[in-house]
Amino acid sequence: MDDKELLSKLLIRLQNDDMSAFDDFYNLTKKAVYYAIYVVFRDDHISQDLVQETYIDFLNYRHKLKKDVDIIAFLVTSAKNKAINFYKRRRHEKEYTFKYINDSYSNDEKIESDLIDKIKDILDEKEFMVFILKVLGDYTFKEISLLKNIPVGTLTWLYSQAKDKLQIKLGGYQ
Amino acid sequence: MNEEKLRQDILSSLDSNKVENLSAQILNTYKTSKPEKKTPWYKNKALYFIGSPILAGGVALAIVLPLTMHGNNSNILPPISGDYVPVAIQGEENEIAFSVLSAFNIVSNDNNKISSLLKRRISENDFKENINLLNPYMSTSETMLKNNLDVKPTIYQITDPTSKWEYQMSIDDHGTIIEFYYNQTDITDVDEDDDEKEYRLDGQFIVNSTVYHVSGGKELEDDEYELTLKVELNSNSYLLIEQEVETEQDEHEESYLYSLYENNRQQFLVELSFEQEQNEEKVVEVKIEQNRKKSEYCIMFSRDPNHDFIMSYEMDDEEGLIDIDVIEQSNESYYQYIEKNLGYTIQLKRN
Repeated sequence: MDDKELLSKLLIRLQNDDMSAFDDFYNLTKKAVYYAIYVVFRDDHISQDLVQETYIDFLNYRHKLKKDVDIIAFLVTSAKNKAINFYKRRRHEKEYTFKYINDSYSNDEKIESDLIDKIKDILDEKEFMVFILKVLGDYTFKEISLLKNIPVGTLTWLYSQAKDKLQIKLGGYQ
Repeated sequence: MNEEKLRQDILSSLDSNKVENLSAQILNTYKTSKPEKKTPWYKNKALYFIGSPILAGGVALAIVLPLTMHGNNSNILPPISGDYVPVAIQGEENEIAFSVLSAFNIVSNDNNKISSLLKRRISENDFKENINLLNPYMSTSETMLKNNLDVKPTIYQITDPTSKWEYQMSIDDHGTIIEFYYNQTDITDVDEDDDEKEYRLDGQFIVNSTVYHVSGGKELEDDEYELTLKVELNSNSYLLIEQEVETEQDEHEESYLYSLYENNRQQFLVELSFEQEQNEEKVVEVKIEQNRKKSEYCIMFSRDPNHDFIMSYEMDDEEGLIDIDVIEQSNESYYQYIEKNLGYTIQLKRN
């Protein structure tokens, strides 16, 4: 049974109020949800809080979900919305400063793997940041523009550059 | 590039142990904080009875307002004699001219855009359909990118005492002359402390012998300018033009919003805007709404010497990038839109 089949079985159990399915469900989906938030804030505490909110919303809403829903896409969208709303709420609060905005993404130990190291070698810092937000976080250019205060045009260009470089040097993703 | 596959591979490559297992904590919080059921607003009788007169008033207004606002489209302009006195262009007239010109580009009978917008049917595929909708605004976007908004109108004050109109503006759109006859009435509130000036505009614009009634107003402040024009296309439909220009020290913003109404229902909306900050690349944004479908585009000059422009898009919840080339072919000019990822290419006439 692949992950997709397993997830839809777990969803059905949760919809039937078999809460013992939640642990497996969480472990199968947690990376996609966590990183959709983490790539924005790169703060474990904020990310964990928003991950919890995302899953609680899901649990409250689970009976209304259709059986064939793309559950990962649903959770990631919900996580992204949580991150964007959190950012919008807090960005005007003077006592709350977002240290992450201009921080470099290249030395973040949470975003590390052999594949990511290869990508880091190919892209420059800004391209990597846009790429990670776009591909790992699934954010739109407009959302990234809001979160990082970078014009959409610049993001469009950086992403286009990143894709072209990866296409040539990474291979296997045609 | 297959982004979804790459995303999956990146996610798989990340160490699962770096993400804490919060499932027990989440379940606990969930069990102790089940939401209370709320009464839907329509089941709240008190609210319903308060709301009814407001709703009834709104419906009455919606019926009466168009009747009172309904103008006479059959007026033919009276012959105008006497001298025309050239009027010094203040600056904002260029903006009005640009609005009128772009409105003309939308309502023009020549290219029949209005009818094609209203009668549009689902075509071969959503992508091409959306690009077809965007294409009429591509040349305006190009003009905006090239800082070439200076549509040079000529404006005259009409001295003929029998003339209904005080001013005449002529705009030359590649040989087609658009005439805009109008009155401008100062309606600035005398009690206003600030430097804001407010004017009402009434008039007609004539294109290829067709007369369109226009009404609206403009507001001027130190660094802000707003224009609203309602162009009556026929007794059932009108085009609403809203324009805003704001200039601060290092920042300049302009937006042009065109909404087409038929039987008082919005049928189509397009917004073109750009923001220019010092040392920032200029990007023109185009938003289009039709039949509850929305698409958004951001257009900029391409840094790739093989292409003229690059455009990001969001249409039908899909997002991507399109390279745009300007192609000259035997006295005709075209835009070629290339979506490399999907393998789509579409070539459409450049206005």
